[in-house]
Amino acid sequence: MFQTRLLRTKAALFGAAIVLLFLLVGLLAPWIAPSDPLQIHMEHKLSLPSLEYPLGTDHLGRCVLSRLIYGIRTSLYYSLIVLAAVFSISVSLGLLAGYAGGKIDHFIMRIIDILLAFPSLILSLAITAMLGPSMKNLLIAFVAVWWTGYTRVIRGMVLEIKESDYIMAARAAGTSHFQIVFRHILLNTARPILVLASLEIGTIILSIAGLSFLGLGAQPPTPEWGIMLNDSRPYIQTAPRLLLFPGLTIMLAVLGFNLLGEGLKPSNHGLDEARKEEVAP
Amino acid sequence: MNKPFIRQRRLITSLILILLAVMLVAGCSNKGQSSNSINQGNTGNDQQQSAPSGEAAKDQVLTVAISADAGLDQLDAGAYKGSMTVHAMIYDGLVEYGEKGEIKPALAESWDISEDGKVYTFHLRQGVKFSDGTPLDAEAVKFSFERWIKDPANTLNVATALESLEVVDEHTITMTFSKSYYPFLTELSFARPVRIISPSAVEPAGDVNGQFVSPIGTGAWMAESYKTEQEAVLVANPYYWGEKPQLSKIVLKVIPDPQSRVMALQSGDIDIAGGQLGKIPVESIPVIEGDASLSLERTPGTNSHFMIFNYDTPALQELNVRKAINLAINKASIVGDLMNGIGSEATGLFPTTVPYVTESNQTWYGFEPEEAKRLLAEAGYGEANGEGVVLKSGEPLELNLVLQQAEFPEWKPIAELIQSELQEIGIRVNLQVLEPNAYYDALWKTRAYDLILYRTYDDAYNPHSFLLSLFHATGEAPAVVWSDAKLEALIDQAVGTTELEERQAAYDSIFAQMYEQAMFAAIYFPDDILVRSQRVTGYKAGYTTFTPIFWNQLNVGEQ
Repeated sequence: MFQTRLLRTKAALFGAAIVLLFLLVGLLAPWIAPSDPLQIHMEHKLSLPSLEYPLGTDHLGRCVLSRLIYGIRTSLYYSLIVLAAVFSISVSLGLLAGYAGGKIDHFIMRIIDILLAFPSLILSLAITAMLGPSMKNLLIAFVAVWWTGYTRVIRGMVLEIKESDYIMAARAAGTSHFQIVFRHILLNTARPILVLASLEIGTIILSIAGLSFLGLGAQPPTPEWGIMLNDSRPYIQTAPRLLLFPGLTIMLAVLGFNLLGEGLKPSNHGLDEARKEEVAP
Repeated sequence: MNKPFIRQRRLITSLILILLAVMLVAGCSNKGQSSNSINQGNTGNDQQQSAPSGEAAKDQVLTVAISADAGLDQLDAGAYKGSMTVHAMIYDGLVEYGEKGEIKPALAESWDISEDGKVYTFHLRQGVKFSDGTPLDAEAVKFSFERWIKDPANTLNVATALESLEVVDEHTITMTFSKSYYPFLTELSFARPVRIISPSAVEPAGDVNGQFVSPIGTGAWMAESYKTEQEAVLVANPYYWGEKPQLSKIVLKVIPDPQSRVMALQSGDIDIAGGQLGKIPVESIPVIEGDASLSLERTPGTNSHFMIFNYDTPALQELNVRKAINLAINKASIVGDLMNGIGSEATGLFPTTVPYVTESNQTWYGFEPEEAKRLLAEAGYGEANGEGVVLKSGEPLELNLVLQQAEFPEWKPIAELIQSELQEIGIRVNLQVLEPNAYYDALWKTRAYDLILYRTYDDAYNPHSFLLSLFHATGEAPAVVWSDAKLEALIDQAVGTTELEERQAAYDSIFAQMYEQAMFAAIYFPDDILVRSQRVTGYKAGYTTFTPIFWNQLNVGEQ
């Protein structure tokens, strides 16, 4: 048991290191990137890795490494925006539905049931197709689809906390609804929400890359990992490295966030132990 | 105890070996036969015996990759369904489209045109039979046309201008039109809906309103079997009137993904792929050139890719801006670096493979970025702002360029190159990659673009039909590319006259005006590329996209 815990800490540290590396490189992109990610050099197209272009160039002679580095900005920046929007919607609706209950709860939950009946990816595809392809519309589509699951989870947590003794006590003491919701319930849901969020970033990065791969997200010439993958598809036989590099980058970024998220999650073992101790005396 | 066990093991081993041998034989003989003729193991040996001597000599089978289902079950000569290439293989028209638009006899051996250009009399070839043995006569021609010609959805001039269709005798038919229009004959060479179908192909037979049952034409090929979304098998028509095909069978295999087509060629699963049958990506050319068992066939195409300027955008209403954009685009680099040299720099709207287009009436702008900058300055675009974009009365010169990637994947890198080249002369271009439906909406309906990439139609539609649909008002709608009464009058003159010289003169001045006004940005003329296995012999490129190869001359030999 001790070993698995250590393993998890190690994995989490590793994840944190990757995430930190990505954040740093993305932040310092203009100083780190060897060349301009948008500069086209037709005379250098599809060249092999060299000192000038450490990972070679793409079909338009643009530096692949620089595009990957600037791609961090696109992917991480937009993932954080989606995350912030999704959680602000689902936290407020979840609190409202869980605490108010009754008709409001019923109304919100039925809308969620309807939306959850559609596969989320198809629904976001449909929304972006309707609004037209652009990064802004892609973000709108993601938020419109993804708030549902979290609202449900948060509502569940609120329902549980609402029934606990200290809320009863607070209510009996005449604390206002506002105080109960924000001081007691919201603060107690904060930690699980944070864990959920860190686990979510990986999925969001992957989905942004996926829809951009399909041509629905970032528009050219924006450096974006999914677009880079799609652009390189015709070269799978002649220059497979063009697919390999963005693919590995996406994998690494998602892995980093997932490991970090797993590490932050309170271990089931730990919880069980704690409960046993509570019961034992 | 031990001995029987060993014997048993030997038995099993030999059984497995026999099974393997049978599978091998069945696998080999299967190449030449349809899948349902794989026989039980014991006849496998006989098949192997007979294959090299008798059957293989006759059974010359060619496998071709197609990108979409051939639709043999709905391949009605008078409808727009199924594969156009297969339409042209199964059905013949009255006339055929030859090199550079020359009209050649097909089912009609000869024809007469009246002085005023309104009455066409066709003399049919004698002794022609449909693939089921039904004889071809003037009644069958009339039947074929009457099945679709009244349908208001048809925009072909032979349909809209037709006044009467009369059978004179068994082998003569006349068509009377309400106007003189020289491309009537060109339209009659199309793959559909003008080709001739047997009256026995519908139910009840001979009824013009009858239900289509099976594709029965006079062409060199006839349908044998068909599996939706998998393959269509065509065999030689025993009654064919022309040069008999060398091959006995053509298998059209559906392979939607371009990369998979290249791999299928490499593995020998298919013998031919490319052209409109299913494009071969230019990026795969190095792979094909490096493979000794494949050879690359290039023919100059008849279409061209260009960029439309929206005449509603104020900045693009200035001649100098349009010229500057033309001068800033490095067409040589697009062809050489992006298209792997498959094509040529555009020198106008149409390449010289198109009728009435000659070396002398083609002039276009070269690559002169300095001159482009000078023209922009002359148009009043002064100092650039912080981002290098030129300004006119405080407004930056910013244009959006619409394109689609699904049907034309090469447009995206081209657009990115144009974007960076226009940035060089101080024009900011925002790219919008739309899915095909949204793209065509923007092109035909909403006009929500400043610049949009498009291409001309193929072969028989050029130049008249393309000019009429994009440079001429249609019905209520104004012209798409360029709206100008003088240009429209010239186009009307070109298509209406029966005088060849007058027509050529009209086309010459149309092309000259396009250059003077820089009506669009010419980009490139693609080549048609087709890849064939080395075992395919007798390859000769066709003159239309729906006849990319002269199928009848093809043959297959040993690898």
